[in-house]
Amino acid sequence: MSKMEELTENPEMPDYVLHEYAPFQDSSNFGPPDWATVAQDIETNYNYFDGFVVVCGTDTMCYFSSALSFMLENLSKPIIFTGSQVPLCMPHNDARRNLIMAMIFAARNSINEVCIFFHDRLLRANRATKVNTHKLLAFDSPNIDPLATIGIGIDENDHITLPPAKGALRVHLRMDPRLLT
Amino acid sequence: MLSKITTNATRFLQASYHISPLSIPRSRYSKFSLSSSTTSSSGLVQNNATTKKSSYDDLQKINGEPLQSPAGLLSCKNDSSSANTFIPQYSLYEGEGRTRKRVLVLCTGGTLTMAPDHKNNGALTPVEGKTNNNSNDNNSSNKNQASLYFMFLSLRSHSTAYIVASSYCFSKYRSNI
Repeated sequence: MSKMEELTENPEMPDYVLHEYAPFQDSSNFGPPDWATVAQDIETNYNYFDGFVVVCGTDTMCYFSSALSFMLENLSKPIIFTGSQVPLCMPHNDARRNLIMAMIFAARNSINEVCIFFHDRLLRANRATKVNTHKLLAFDSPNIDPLATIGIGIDENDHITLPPAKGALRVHLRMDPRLLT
Repeated sequence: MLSKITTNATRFLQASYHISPLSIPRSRYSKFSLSSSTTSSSGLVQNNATTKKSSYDDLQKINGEPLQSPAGLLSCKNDSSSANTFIPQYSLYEGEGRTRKRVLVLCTGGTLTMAPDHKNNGALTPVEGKTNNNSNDNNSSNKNQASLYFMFLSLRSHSTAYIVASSYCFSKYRSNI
């Protein structure tokens, strides 16, 4: 990221601070305790940043982002989840565009919720699901239109995006992993 | 007897109107006083300038000094030039103020962070630190090769230069492999 000219040399792009969690885990090993850790970090840095980008694996991105959308009450800043189907080291990767657009959306004022950006579409996190593992268009929100689509410009669906919250941010970390079976 | 009733009534009203300073609503502070010395027989304070100022001062002591005067610098009516005053908004020091948004990127792993891991025989695994240091090496090497290729094409018209340039480009190409 430090050598991506789109992020460093363009004055319209936001300043970013990268934090990597050590050690890296496969997204299938990510669970509620890890979700709570990320939520706590967002709460700690909430007043120092204008937006947040969470890079994670695509397998459990829907569950992770949906849980985070319910854990963070009165959210007034964008939290954009993104990932890729092809790694960044590959020449034909989709990670570069996903990462750049996620940064752009994280710096926008019109987004005030947890979203997933994947393959030129911004989806509401708790309405999205993974539909394909082999195509670049891996995520979809069948019952609601995307919050924004990318073409030549950014086409936002203003009638769907949430307004900024009026209260202070509240984080709910207690989750019960017991499920009905 | 009547005087005793009036004094008792006065004392009762004074006691009933003795409320804590913090519970005084701002919009009505002119009616109630923090000190009982200025209360009239009915318990209400006469709305005069001195009483208002004293209650405002008392409120200042409770809430602290304000950071700015209530109306601001440009509301001074005595200043005739205030209407034409223009205060430019510029920073006094370099780097003062923030014009760019700040974004926190939290990287938990995933396919985006994968790179060939030499410990696992070149298999793709999430590698820490690769996200920030990934210079997209394939693109840079292709750029060098492309520049060499264009230089080679431009020198094709000159026979001697063609031979020299082709050998130079070939040696460079071999070194990049």
